[in-house]
Amino acid sequence: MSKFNKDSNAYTIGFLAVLALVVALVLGVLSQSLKPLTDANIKLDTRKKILMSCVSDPNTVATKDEGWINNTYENSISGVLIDVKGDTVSDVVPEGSYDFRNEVKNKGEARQIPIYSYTDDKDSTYYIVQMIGMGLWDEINGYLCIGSDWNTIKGVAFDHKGETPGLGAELVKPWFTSQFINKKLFDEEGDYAFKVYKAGKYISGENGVDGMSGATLTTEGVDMMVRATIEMYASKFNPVNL
Amino acid sequence: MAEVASRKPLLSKQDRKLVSDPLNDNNPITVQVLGVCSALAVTSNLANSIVMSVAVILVTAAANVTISSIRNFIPTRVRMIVQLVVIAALVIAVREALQAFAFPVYKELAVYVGLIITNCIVMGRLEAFAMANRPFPALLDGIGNGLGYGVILIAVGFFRELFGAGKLLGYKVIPSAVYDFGYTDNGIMILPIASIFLIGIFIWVQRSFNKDLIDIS
Repeated sequence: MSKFNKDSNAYTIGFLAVLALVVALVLGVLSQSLKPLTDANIKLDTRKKILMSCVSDPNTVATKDEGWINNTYENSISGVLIDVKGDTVSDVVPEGSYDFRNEVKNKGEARQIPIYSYTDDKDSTYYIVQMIGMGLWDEINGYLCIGSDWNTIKGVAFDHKGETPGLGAELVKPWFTSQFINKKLFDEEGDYAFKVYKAGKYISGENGVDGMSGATLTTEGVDMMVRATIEMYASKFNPVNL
Repeated sequence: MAEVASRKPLLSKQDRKLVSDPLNDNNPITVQVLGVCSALAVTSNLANSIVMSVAVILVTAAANVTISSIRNFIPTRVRMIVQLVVIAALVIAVREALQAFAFPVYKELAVYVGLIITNCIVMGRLEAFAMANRPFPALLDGIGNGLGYGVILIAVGFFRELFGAGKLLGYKVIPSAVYDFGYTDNGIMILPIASIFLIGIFIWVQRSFNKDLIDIS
């Protein structure tokens, strides 16, 4: 080790350059070689979430294998893209390439948003709309499945990027999502009346659900996200008063 | 390594001490008071604590081995930058691997895996041990310190989930009969502040058993 000077500037810079190259190369190769697997996982996860929002026993979806999820999805769900006026602009939602986040955040009035329809085994049809909003730390998102009256909630599935485990991250749990089932978005006059209450404030009624204890801001985020979704899909929901 | 093996058994007394020391006498959390931030943040339930412990054991062990193998080539002035680059690369690799092979687990702990980079224990072991020792002892030291951290994390997660939600690993363990008598889950146990109390109690209990520790810090 005594042949070269380990503390010379040239050696230090050279060492760091080599280290940076090696690390970048290893991580680049790793990331690229795993990308097909990762993309497949993300696609499957999206299908799983869409199914969880609409099937009658959402908790069992998590336990099903890939074949069941793909099969059920392909047999019972179909998606279209609509524009702001509610007209269909595409007969399919391109899985993998369609970027909902980008459409909502950057395209304004030119956005194209998805509506999925779900047909259950009794041949009733439900519609699934996509949601996006902000929690306490980062994005929250999900799917809202609605009856053909565009009022009664059939189910919801949420996801999040960085909510606090045990507090805000509870939004994905069945105890929270199952409260939404059969609740109504609008009151009898047709006014938007749905509310996610602060934890403990919800008593009863068909227009509300109880929030998450210790996660007031995530709870408000969910409330705002549902409202924003109704606004975004106003051409379908036809709210009298938001 | 061959000559070392002929001189002493695979796990000599010193080697075993490398693993067992951080579990008690030199515990990274309760004695060195390192890595407390993540011990507060991720221990709201037992499952998260276990996963975080496993991830930290993997990263400390792998980073220790890597740094120890290249320790003679690292320029002294930039050694910490080199250590950080190695830790960050390992953490990203763990993240990518989870995303490809264990997506559900990845979704549960994507937030924490990033936190490992900032865990003082990992860098502390690289600086204090791996820079001056051979790869095999460094591996044991990494595993030992990861375990020492994990034991505390799991203990904190156990008590927080038990008293905060009445559950363990998501299953209800406190029978509903107890609730009928007026018992309620303690909401403060879910909040990070509860970990401060718990770790404080652990330090107290450990010191009352292990008198050697009393004047150390």
